[in-house]
Amino acid sequence: MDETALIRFAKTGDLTAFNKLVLQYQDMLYNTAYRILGDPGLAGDATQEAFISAFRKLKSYRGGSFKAWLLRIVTNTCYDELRRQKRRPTTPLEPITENDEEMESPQWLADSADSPEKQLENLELEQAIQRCIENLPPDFRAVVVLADIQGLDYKEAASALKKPLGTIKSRLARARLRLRECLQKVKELLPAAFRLEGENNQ
Amino acid sequence: MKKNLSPRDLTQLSAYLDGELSASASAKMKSRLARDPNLAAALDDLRDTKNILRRMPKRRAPRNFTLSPQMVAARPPMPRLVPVLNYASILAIFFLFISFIPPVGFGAMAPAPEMMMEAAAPAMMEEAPAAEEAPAEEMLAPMADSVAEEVMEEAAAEEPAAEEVVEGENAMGAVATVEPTARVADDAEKSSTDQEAEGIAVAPTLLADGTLVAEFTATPSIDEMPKDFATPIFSRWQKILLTVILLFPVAAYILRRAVIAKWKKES
Repeated sequence: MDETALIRFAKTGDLTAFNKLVLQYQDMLYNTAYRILGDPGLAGDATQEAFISAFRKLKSYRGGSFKAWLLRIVTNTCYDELRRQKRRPTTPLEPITENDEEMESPQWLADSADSPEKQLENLELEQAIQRCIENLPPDFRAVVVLADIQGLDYKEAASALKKPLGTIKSRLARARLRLRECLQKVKELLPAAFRLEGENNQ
Repeated sequence: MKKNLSPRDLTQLSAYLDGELSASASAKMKSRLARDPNLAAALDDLRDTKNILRRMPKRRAPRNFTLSPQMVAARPPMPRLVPVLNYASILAIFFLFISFIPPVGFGAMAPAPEMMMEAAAPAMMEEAPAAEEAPAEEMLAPMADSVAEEVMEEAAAEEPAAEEVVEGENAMGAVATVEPTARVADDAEKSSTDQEAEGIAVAPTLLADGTLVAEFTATPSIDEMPKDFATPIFSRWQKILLTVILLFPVAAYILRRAVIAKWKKES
């Protein structure tokens, strides 16, 4: 069954149809939430909450990109979570990089065919990038996550974030610049990984 | 090198990288890039950054986020009794509040029957023992005429409400002959089962007893009784209302918890 049909069935309250959509989009939503929030537990909660609220307000979905519609819901859920964190700030006892057991999902490790050293390097690089993303203001973060990590085009990102195209454009540019500066510092820590990235781009 | 890049150039460059510039703007940018090595270097930096981000491993969902019917239901279906109990207690609070307002503008107020009950209750109780003492109602017959005036005065003074005046008129007819009085008493007994009729029931009793009171003024029990009822903290109705206010929400809460617990167990 194609997506449009599934959505049509889900709109009538068909949970089975909706759950098919959930299975299709859960990785994307979870990944987005994880990149914005930087915590697997919070990302899982945000994803679940986003799907529940998506089902409840499915009637308000009027065509267009379903992916962008779902991403809007999940980013809003993440914003709520970030606002909540701001109200009750918590200071982690350890830096996020340190609690790697929590950070790592076994599924992801299983997918990687790299050597353990390479995996570790990738993991460190990933965590370094993640921290750079988390240093961005939430609005910039969401644009970067949707455009560069999820690969949405400007139009999709604009509809997902309910912002004009120009805003998306300038925020993405500024977010990239900031990330570049942040990654520059990381580069000194992980030269090998970065050189590799650089070579691939030439 | 990026330092001297204007925000506008940065935005344009970033959009150029994503292929989001219009054809003409894109061509313009292309020629500028060919001439300006700084700009070209900035583009490389942006491209690097974009690629690093794009290559970030995709996190897969650690579990399935499929929804169960319970998760979608806003809340478990509540039995109708829960809101009924809650509204009843709110209503009871309202009536209890009103019952404490001094009986001013009696006829106009909604809970007037309750207020009258309050006023009448002590009187009724007070004269009940006297009635027991009275051996036979026939004795009253000769005195009926003389007592009638007094009874009327008493009734009028104690209950100024319109309904009571009507009762007073009934009483007038009743006092004229003994049989009607008995009939009214019978009616009162019949109607006493009905809650609303209770107010009416008081009047005949009072009337009959009032006559007795007039006769047996010297009886010691009459003097004693008013003391017990002189300062009632809560009338019977207020006690009922208090019970409703206290017990109904508790019952509703327990019921609600039970339903939620059952609902969670199922899901």
